[in-house]
Order: sequence, then C-alpha cells, then structure tokens
Amino acid sequence: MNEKDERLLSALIDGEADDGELRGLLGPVDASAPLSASLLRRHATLRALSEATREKARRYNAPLRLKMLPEKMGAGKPARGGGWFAGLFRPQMAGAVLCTALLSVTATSLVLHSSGNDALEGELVSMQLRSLMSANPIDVASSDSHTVKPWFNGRIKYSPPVEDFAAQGFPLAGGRLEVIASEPVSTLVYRHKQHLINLYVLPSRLGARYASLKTTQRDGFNIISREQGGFVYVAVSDLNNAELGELMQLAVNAK
Amino acid sequence: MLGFGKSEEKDKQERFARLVTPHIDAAYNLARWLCGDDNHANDISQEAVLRAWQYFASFRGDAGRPWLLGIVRRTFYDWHAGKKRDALHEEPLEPEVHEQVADESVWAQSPESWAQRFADAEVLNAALERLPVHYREALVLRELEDLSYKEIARVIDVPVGTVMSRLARARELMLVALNDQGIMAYERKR
Repeated sequence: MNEKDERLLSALIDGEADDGELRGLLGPVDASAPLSASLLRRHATLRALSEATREKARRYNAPLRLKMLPEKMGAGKPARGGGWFAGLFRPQMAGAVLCTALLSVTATSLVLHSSGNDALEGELVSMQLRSLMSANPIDVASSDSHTVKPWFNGRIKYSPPVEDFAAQGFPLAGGRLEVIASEPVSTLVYRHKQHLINLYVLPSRLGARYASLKTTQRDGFNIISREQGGFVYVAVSDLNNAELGELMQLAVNAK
Repeated sequence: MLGFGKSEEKDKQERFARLVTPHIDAAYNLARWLCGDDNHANDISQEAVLRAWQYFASFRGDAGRPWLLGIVRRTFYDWHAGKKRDALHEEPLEPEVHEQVADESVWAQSPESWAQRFADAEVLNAALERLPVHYREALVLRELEDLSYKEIARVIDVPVGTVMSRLARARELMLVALNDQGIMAYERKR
C-alpha cells in the first residue's frame, strides 16, 4: 500500500476522505466485489486505535485559577441574561470573587445554550463548579446517614433517603442544601477516589424535568438522572460515567 | 467619544467570554500534551490566554477554539525556543526525515491482537507521550479535541494535505510503538 493510500485510509477513519480519491482506493463501485482482506484489516486496526485513543488518552482539565483568568483580566463579564440562576446563588457561602467567577461561568453557558435540557445541564454544571470552588462544599459533614438525614428535617419539605456507601467505595461525605427553582433541595455529597459527587434528591413533583436528562455530559461533567420511588436522583461529577452509574444504582436500590 | 470606547470594551469582553473562555480546558489540555508537565502547561496556557486577550481585537469570526489553540501552540514553541539553551530537554521540533517506516508485519496483525494492546491505557498514553511533537499535536487535536482537518490546519499552520499525512504517520508510529512494546522497554530502562 502506497503512502497516498495510507493517508486516505486514515482520513476515512476521520470522515475526511475525498469521495473521488476514495473510489480510486476501493476500486470500482460494485457491491459484489469484496474489498481485500488486508485493506479491511488496516481499516479495522486504524479505527480501533482511534477509538482507543479517544477513550483512553488523558484529558487534562485546566486548574480553576486558569479558568478564572479571563475574569481577572476583565474579560469574563458577559452581559447578564435571564434570571433563572439568581435563585441558585447563596452569597453567604462565597466571597465576591467566587460570585463573579460563577456568574461568568453560568452566563456563558446561558449564552451558548439557552433552551430545554441545555439550560438544565448548565444549571447542574454551574452548581457543581460552585461546590468544587467552594472551600467547604458541605453544610453538614458526616459519613453517618443518621446525622445527615435529620439535618435536612425542617430545612426542606420532604425526607430524602440517605445512605452511606463506603463499603462499595463511595463514602458519604455529608449533605448540603441547594436551591433549585426556588425550592430548597437536599444534596448528598459523596467521594470516590479523588472525585466529588453531588447527588441531588428531589421529590418527583419538583424534579420531573431533570428525570429526562438520563445520561448526559456537559463541560466535562457527567450527569445521570433516574426516577425511582417518588424521587428523582440526579448525580453530577467529573467522575467517569460508568462509576457514576454505579453510585446511581446503589442510591436507587437502597430506597 | 469616551462612551463609545466603553461600549466597545464591553462588547469585546462579552465576545471573549463567549468565544474564548469556554475553551480554556482545551487550551490547557493541548499545552499539557505538548510540554509534558503540569507546571509548564499552566505557565504556557496562562500566557496564551493573556496573548489571546491582547490580540483579540484582530480576531474575526466565531471559531474561538482553533484560534485559541493556535495561540497555545505558538506560545509553546516560543517557550521551547527559550528552553533550547537547556540542552538536557532538547526534543527535535522538525519532523524527522529518517523515521522508521512500519514494516508490513505491523499491518498483518489481527484486530483481536490489537484489541489486547489497545486495552492498556497506561501503554497507550505512554506511546502518545513519546510521539515526536509534530505527530503528537496532530493526534491530540484530532482525537482529544475533535477538530476537523481544516481546523487542525489552521492551528498548526500547514495545508490540509499535510494534516492528512501527519495523522496517517502519527497513527502508524503509534502502532509501531504499541507493536514493539518498545514503550515497556523504554520504561524499564528509565
């Protein structure tokens, strides 16, 4: 196989091969004529390599300080649009710097994605970012579900299931309140390896719109939602999808 | 006059936040893959974001991602040129003329035997880290940042045909490395 054909085969994997050139490589267009075994093997090998690279090569995330740099340069203040994020923000928890940084992140998501699930995902991601940036993402720190569960009493209008999954590798770190659609909502914080996971537990009447997110990804965060036994569970983390799914399964089964 | 300047500044800020700020992760990822360590990646991408803000007035269009990544790349090469005096870390920046060409045996392996080798994330990452920088950047832009050939051409400032050859060659070199398990031998020697 000459160099030109090798280039073409690689471009084919990327969906960038020119049709005319491709016909030259593959021969006359005739469905009954099988392609050569060696050509098929090359193609399969290149495609498997490409998939493995996409899946396994490390993706490095910028440190938060770098992400906040545009803000520091005076470049991070897009026009404020919409008001839906105003209710999400609790100024007592964070300093002014955090406040403006978050608004810029949120407003950016708002400009880019303004409707339907996009807005929901953006909302979840900005809450996740906020909890990551916050020195203490937990209002009640305890691995004891019997401490965390009563803490929510009187703070929210329902009683969420709270379980520790330390034995399965997901220790409960504590709980926190978030305000979603101007309703306080219980948030359970779990840790897994180095990752922080926020698990929002809402009664179905409040969380119906989140249930439709199912499994999705946004800005490097994985989001999984499930509805079970009158509650909607929404897990958000930079943890990979498979392991986040494990926690979701545990949470849903525990009920 | 003053008022006009003010709204122009505001417009610039809004555009930057919309077109450039969302791609800071991609910028850091590219810098990290190019230079190979966290500290320098931080310095390089920070410098690149500052440059982007400085040059932003000359930026046209909506493709903020390739534009920012192009700046990251240039910043890396500038940093690298400055580092050259430190001969210890020298890595040739030009594509090598006499690179080993994959012999046909690489292509004769069955997809199953490749599947086994591709399964090891450590080995795969090590192979990518050790690709010569011209091939590494092309592959990172394609597979990790999912840029089109045209966008890659813009970032690394070469014709699309060159992007095509670089990627084909990059993949071939990955296969050679993974086939030889040359990576493992290298790791043992270190």
